Amino acid sequence: MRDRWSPVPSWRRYLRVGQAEEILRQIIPGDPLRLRFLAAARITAAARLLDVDRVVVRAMARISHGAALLGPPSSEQWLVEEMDQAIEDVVEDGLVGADVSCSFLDALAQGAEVKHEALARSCVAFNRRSRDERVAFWSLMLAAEPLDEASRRHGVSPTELAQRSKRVLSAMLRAVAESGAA
Amino acid sequence: MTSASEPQPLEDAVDLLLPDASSGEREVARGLAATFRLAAIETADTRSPSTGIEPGLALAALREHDLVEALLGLQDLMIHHAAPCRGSSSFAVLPRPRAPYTESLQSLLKLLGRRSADLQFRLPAPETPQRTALQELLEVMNAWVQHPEARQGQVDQARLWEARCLHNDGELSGSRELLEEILRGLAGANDRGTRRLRADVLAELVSLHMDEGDLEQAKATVARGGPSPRQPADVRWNLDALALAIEWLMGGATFPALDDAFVRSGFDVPGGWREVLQRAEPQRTAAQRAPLQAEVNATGGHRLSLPSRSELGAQAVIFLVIDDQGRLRRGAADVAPALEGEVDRWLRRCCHADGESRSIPQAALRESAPVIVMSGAPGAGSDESLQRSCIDAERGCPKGVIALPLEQGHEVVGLLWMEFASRMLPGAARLQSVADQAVGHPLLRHRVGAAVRLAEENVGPLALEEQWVRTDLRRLWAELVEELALKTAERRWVAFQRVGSSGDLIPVAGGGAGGGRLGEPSNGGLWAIRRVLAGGGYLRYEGDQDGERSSMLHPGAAAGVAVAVPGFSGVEAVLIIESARHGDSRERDAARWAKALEGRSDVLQCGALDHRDRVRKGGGLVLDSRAPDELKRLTQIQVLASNRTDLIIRGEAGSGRRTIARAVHHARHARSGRDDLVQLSSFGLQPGDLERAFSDDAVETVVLTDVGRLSVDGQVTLAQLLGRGIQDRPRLVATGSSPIAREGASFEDSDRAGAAEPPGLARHPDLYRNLERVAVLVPPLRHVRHRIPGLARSLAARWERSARPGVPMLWSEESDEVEAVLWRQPWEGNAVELEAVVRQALLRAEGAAVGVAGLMAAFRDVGLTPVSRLSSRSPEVRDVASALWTTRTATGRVNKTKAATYCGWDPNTLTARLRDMGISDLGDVERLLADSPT
Repeated sequence: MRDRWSPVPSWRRYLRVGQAEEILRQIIPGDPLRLRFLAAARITAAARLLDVDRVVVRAMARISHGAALLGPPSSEQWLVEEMDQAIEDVVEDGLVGADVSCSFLDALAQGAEVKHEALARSCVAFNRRSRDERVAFWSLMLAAEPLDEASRRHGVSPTELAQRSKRVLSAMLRAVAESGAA
Repeated sequence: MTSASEPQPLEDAVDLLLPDASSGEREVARGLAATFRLAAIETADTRSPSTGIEPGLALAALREHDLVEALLGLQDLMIHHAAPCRGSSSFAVLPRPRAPYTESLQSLLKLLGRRSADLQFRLPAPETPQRTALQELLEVMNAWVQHPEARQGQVDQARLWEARCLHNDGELSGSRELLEEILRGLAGANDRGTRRLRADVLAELVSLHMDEGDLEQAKATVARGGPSPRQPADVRWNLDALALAIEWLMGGATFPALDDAFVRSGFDVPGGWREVLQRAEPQRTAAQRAPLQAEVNATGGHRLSLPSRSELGAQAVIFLVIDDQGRLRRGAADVAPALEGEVDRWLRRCCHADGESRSIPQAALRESAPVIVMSGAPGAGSDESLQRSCIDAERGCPKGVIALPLEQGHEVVGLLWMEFASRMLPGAARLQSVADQAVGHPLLRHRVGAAVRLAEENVGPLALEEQWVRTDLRRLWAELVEELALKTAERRWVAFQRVGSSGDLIPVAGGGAGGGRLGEPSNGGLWAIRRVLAGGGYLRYEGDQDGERSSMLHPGAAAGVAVAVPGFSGVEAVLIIESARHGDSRERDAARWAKALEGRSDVLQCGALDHRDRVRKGGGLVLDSRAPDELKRLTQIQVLASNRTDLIIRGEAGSGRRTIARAVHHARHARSGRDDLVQLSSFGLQPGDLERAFSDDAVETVVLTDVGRLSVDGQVTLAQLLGRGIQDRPRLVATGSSPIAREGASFEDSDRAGAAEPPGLARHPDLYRNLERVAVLVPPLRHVRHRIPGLARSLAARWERSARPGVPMLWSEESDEVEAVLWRQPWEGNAVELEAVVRQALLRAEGAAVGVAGLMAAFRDVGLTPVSRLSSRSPEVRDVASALWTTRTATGRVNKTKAATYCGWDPNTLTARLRDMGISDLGDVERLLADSPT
């Protein structure tokens, strides 16, 4: 597994084939643009709780559309920007209405002590918090970093980092309580 | 987000963060954290292949994304059309377009290229009025959101646009109902997209209440969106920015700098807030020119009542009249009961010459300009000034006051004083309308007998015969008056029109015998002109009712009617008809004349534009407003004139691009009284020339010809100058030769399009893109052949007058054969070529009428071979329609024999072609001309 994302060397030729549908058919098999890897990296960097497959699908649609309209991009950075936008699109759509999002929650809910609806609400509550708060929570609670190390890495005091995480956790607990299903 | 150290146990982390939580809560927190920790690990696991993604699912996502982008592109176009429709004082908020019009359109068309089967789109025609175009695009949006891939949010966005259109059209209650309905549908959902949409809908609702002047309701609506921000830096949605605006308008202490806040939320600063800004920070916005025009008065009556307090949202409205001694005395007033007792004291204190000279009313009278002051506005002095000038400072200062001088002609005759309990003051357009109403108030009638006269330099002494050298206009008015069926033996008439170099009304024509009892016109009756200028419609008056015979235009007149002829942006002309007989100004006659003249307003406006261009620039706009396509051209000129934006006029050399450019300027600045138009040729133009033209405050319009020939340096300079913003600089009207359709496809292609611009010249992309946002195409002469005879006559007249002053016109208007020859030529060089032939023919004729032989010789002299007939095998429909229109009879019928002569065919051929084309009468011809692109 590579440490840093990069698409296959001749990645531009996949985006040069013409219509958006054709481009899409080229970039799905084998994932030559390494979009799965990129999605994982960018979702983690943005500290978002999302269905990564849904983000990848959305990014593929955006990239096919953009490449058909504007031609192949000159830089890999364009792919990164489209991925970030795809993440925001998925956040904007919320967690309802799409089958993939349900399967994401279903998978999480299996074996969990928290019910499906409570999970969904707490997930939305998490994604609604500010980036600083999400990153703090992700470091302490999800990546399980020691407090001192995380505070050094993010350049904030341990107290501040803990308070940010606490605000997120409290918001998630409120969302669970509002769902009436813990 | 990885850690090199040992993972922190979850229990410890939850205990650390929630030390006071119950054990149950901690249990839930641990459950959540454990579940999402798994999700994070799954997300970060990049070994999961994406080959598992179903192509069908991805294809569906692509189609969904197409629709999202198509709707956003469509919205961009709608924003461009909606922005000019918003009232300049409106608080309606519009999103900012993502790209200039042409760019948005290109992207949209490219996208629709592969979705044309299911996303139907038809671009509004270029000359479509903005509101109609917006409505057409809204219909497209409504159709698209019915698509199976559309989401509810997109349906709601379309409905929000529908509400915006209703708001624009003044249908506020319909808009409000629709917005409430959308909000009801959004209740319950809490995802980010819905929250944003809800904020947008609430913002539209708030702006609607603000436009109604109901700040309390606006504030209550803001509260429905949750907590409001405390400062501009906290603004996330446009609703937040409006909340801060309302807080200040209702008396908040700190003036919020909201420009960036609106933009940051993805919306444009609403016009209403721009006006507030201009008033609150005049020093900062002094350089910006007022974009507002007076409201157009409705015709058919007079509005003599003053607006009430409730109509204006004021606590006091006082109408003051200047008496014969020049003192302000109280006229009508609508004052809150608590203030009523103080009004007389206030009048003595603030309005009399021996009172407070620094008061706001005195300042307004001194400057003859409105003074608007708001409390707490940035900059020193506003609060002290309010304290000094308000009716009752002891009860508390108002939040805003307006002193509005009332003018008749160039003379201040009164003052309107308004005090407001909030900073939500009427907009500039509303104030203009109030001033117009007040000037028509009966209390100002006492001034009729006084020495009120239009400024001499504007109206000139009424030595009419000397003034009436404007042959064409005189002839035009004579025709119009004949159509009115006046009994001119008993009456005399004088027509005043806005045609002078200053744009003021001047007498242009007159006639009638007046039964031999009426004297020559004098200044005495000019008050009636002012009255109809202010109120529109018509005015009937009797000379001896109040012993005011001296107020009649003609000495000896006993009755009169003044009729205002409405133009596109105000009263275009006034016709005074007076009679020596009492009671000779009957209501039904006056109404009939007013209606008939209103119907001929286009003819008068064409004449005025033609005259202004001839007087100011030696050119001339030859438009026949009876031709449907030329009437469309006139409307287009007026629409372009009323929207102050840069534009480009495309067409072949000699097709009249510069004339149209000047007409757009003259139609807007007819009343400026200055020569504020600068014409520059791009060829050899230095950047310094551009900078000088654009930095001259006196210049309103820069006409830049052949913009494609501008040097690279010139393009860079021009792009920088245009970047200043339209309010801070003259408007640019450019001309170019490449057809719009080709340039629309690609700016880089323009050199390949056979354009006259030099090939290979590097193009500044932003400059040309921005200019193309408003582009007008002028058709070549061969596409509008019916213009040729009139244009030839006009060119001949111009040549004859300049070559031999005083010599009558030698061009024979009756010469059908000569005009038929001119009509059927291709005129590749357009008017330039036509002018060369006409001049040569006149020179050859040596004072005699031009005949066909001389005309043919003139063609040879200038190196042209005349065409003897148009192709009859596959003729253009427009040519046939044009021939029938040119040769129509005075009674409105087609003349096939004559039309066939023009085409160079025998009549049977024409009849056969007419059958093929489905043309049977002049109505068909008019429809074809009306449908042709202008």
